[in-house]
Amino acid sequence: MDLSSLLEFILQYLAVAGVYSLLAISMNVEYGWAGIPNFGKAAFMAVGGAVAAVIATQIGPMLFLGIEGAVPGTLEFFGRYNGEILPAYSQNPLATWGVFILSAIVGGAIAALLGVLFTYPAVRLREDYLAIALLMSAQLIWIVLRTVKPIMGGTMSLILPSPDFKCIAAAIVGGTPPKILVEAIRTGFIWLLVLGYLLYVEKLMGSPFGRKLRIVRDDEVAAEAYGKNVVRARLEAMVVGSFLAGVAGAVYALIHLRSVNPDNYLPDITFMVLTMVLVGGVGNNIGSVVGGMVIALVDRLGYMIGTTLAMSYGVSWGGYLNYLVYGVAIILAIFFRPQGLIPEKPVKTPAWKVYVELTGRRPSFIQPIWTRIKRGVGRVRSRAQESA
Amino acid sequence: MPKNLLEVQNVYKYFGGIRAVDGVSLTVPENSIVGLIGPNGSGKTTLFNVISGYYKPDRGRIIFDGKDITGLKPHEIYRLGLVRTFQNPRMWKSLTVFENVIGAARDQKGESMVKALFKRLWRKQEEDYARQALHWIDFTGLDPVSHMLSSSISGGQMKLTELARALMSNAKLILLDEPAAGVNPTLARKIFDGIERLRREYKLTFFIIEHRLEVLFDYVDYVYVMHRGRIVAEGRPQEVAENPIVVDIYLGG
Repeated sequence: MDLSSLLEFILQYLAVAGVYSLLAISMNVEYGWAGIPNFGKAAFMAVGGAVAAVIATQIGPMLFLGIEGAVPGTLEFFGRYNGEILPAYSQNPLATWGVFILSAIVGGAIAALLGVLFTYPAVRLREDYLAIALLMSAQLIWIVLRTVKPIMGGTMSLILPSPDFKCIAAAIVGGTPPKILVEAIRTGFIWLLVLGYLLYVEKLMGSPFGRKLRIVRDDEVAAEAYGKNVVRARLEAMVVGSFLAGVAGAVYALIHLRSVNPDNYLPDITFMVLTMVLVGGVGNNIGSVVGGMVIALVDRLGYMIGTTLAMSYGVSWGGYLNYLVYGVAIILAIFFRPQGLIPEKPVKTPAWKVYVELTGRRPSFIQPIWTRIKRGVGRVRSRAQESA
Repeated sequence: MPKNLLEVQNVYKYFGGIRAVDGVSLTVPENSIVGLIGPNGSGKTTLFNVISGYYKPDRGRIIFDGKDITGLKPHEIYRLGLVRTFQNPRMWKSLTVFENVIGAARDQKGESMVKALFKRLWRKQEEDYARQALHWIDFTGLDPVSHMLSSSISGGQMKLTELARALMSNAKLILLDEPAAGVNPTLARKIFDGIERLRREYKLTFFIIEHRLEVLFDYVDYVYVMHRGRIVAEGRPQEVAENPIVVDIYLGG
């Protein structure tokens, strides 16, 4: 393996890890913070993808290119889309960004709406029933996307105009930028979004709102007794989680895959995201990112081993090896580290500052990270000295 | 004559053929401590669940502070100033004791999913609530464990946390379901001393289910006795203690 293909692998890995982290953060809002096992995560991503497809084919051309759109599934669609619309997008970088931004916003909003719609009938039920209801809703969305051709064109993959990173790269180096730089900027953009997600969720949850979600998750009967509207709290978590998933769906379709296909949104992606949250640390946002990075590594390695096996030995099942690893990862996590790689921390609101002031006590979880690291290093060092 | 804070008017609650609450009427005057006793399965906790909104009564009305609260949801009843605790402490396990207490505060501005993003809208209230929470933690003697996870404290401390949460809610009427069950006699007396102090200093009203009559009778103003879903006796503690029906229920089963 030479240097450039290694670099390519790393960039590809980081891009996948970034997209997975977006999904894991959104799953963590629902499952980690509010205790809603959203087995329908794929559907909310699919909404982002579907909106991206509709905007790219039908609304975008009119809005950003000034030409008539084409409806997928009609006879003249491929001729017009491949011959006219896609070339027009490639001439117009701004239009591709318009498609992305509009898709992210509209996709997020519709996903949030569906989150409420799907959850409401089952929101009072026990967690497992809610999970089943969401799983079925996701299957429903999948069937709709496969059969209603004007959305994503049915079961064939539809190429989408990805936001143009080439012009950004060109602006940096001038002339025709190397492909690797374009990919690096693309990956960097995904991670910028991850950072945005993290900042938003950390800010949102480091508040009485985050505490309320945990309260509802830990004991809903007591939550009701102490004035929390459990139904409302769960729906709020679904709104936030589904919005983030809808935006992530647009990112997945437009920036990462650069195409849509209803079969990209099967339940396996839901459970992969759930594995990330379980491995990374239920209720910890940073943990979700770590989980996303771990599972993305498994995913990439599984893909590589799978293709190698298929090409060298004619083995067809190699591509499914990573599912085996996910299963083992879930079992190992639950048995040996149920709190995940990075465990949940108490909700950090300004109340803790008052607590420290008045009691003079400083619980370890509110100490700044460097103090904790220093203490950890000191402990390791003294242990090393003892043994020496 | 003080006004009645809580009036339960002819309330019925059946579960299939089981008459859990079978036509109960009672009143809890403002700033009083009223006890509710009766053997296991006599419907006391069901009555609490009906009052606090977990069950809708089949018939009858519940008036709290002049308002009809029949059929309201528990969190709506809470906002009117009526809070209940649980027989088996229901802690928010992954939260610390301090968070358990402050989390029960009423009308937190930062609980809105929009306002939560703007700290300046709720910081002041949150800090005030933190001070208030620490006050109640001191009051209940939970100070040494306030930074610990509520799942790691003793059963008695959980009971106290329940009480501190109820106090945090700034309620007028607190329904306590067996506050002294399963704790040692000294702590049981301490808990009731605290309740007495709260009534005196904070003008709170208590309605208490308790099996430990020897403790309860030293503190309550008035006692209702339930048996098979009905109120079979009522009166001042010494009257009730001497009532042959009560003696029969407790000793004769």
